[in-house]
Amino acid sequence: MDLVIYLTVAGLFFLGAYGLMTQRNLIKLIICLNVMEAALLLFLVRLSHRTGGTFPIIQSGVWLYTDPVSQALSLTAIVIGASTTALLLALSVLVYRAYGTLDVRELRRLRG
Amino acid sequence: MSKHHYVLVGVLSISFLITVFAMCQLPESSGSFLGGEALLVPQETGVINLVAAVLYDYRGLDTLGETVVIFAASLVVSLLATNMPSKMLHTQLSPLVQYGVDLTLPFILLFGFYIILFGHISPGGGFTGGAMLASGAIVATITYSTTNKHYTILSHQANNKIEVLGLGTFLGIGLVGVAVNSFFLANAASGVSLGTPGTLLSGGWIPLLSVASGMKVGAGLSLIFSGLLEEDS
Repeated sequence: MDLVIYLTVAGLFFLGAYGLMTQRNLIKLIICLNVMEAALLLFLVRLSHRTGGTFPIIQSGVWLYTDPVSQALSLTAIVIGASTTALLLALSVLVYRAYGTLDVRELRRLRG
Repeated sequence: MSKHHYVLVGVLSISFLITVFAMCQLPESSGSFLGGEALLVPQETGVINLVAAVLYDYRGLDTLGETVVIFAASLVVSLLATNMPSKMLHTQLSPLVQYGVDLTLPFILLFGFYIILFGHISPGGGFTGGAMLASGAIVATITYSTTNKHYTILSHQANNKIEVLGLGTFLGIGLVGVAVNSFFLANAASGVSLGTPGTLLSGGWIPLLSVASGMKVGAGLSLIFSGLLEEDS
């Protein structure tokens, strides 16, 4: 089971990296960043997992819980990711308004 | 497919294999972690939700920084937005969507409030509940807006005020700790009654902090959405 999660994490991460290096559309680049972020979140949740542990809310008679620290950290990461995505999208709206294109090759040609 | 492309795929595949191999070297998820230590948390913080205890008590300062990040993001998005009216809102949705949203919207908002208020005794908290409230507001804006009227549950100014009020509440609770000669964002150390862990009124400042961050996140995400809609209402 662990191996499946590791394959998913690494697969999603490097798929996002591949997209970042090959895609030309700004919106697609933002989606690739989000895919990489999803991989990292999955990895954080995997790190919090304990065999036989239940969700981290204290109940009577339960002695083993999953790690709350990395879950809190992934909550933080989700919020920060949402904020950065919103910023990137707002900036791409401005880029489209100013240059009329979202293609990074076109944008590079417009420099100067 | 150029030659560079093949090189890139090769490098990424090798990195993929190395990463999977490295992650397989991680220690097995064993059962030796967080046995009895977890049971200290209700005594120290008064809450039974360990994630809420980490977020609002042990690492409260991080949570404050996180809410400030949302504040900054919504600020910058509203700053970047122009006053062009959005075309998307002028699409007339089918009656099926209208009635569906009529039926579900009260429950979406109610569930958001429930998640915020019960965050310290059940899964949830200010961030998740705030995101639910914001999604309810976004759904209402998309569904009920017509060609000549831009519908919002709360106006832009009201959202701004709620966000600032949430940040102020968070900082004020933090300063209570300083005022009683303890540390910033002190919970049990500031002398507040912790109550019985597991009941609604427990955890000292934690439910209030949860409400404050819920206000901030809900209003902040709504502001980001209205900023991305490029409308200055």
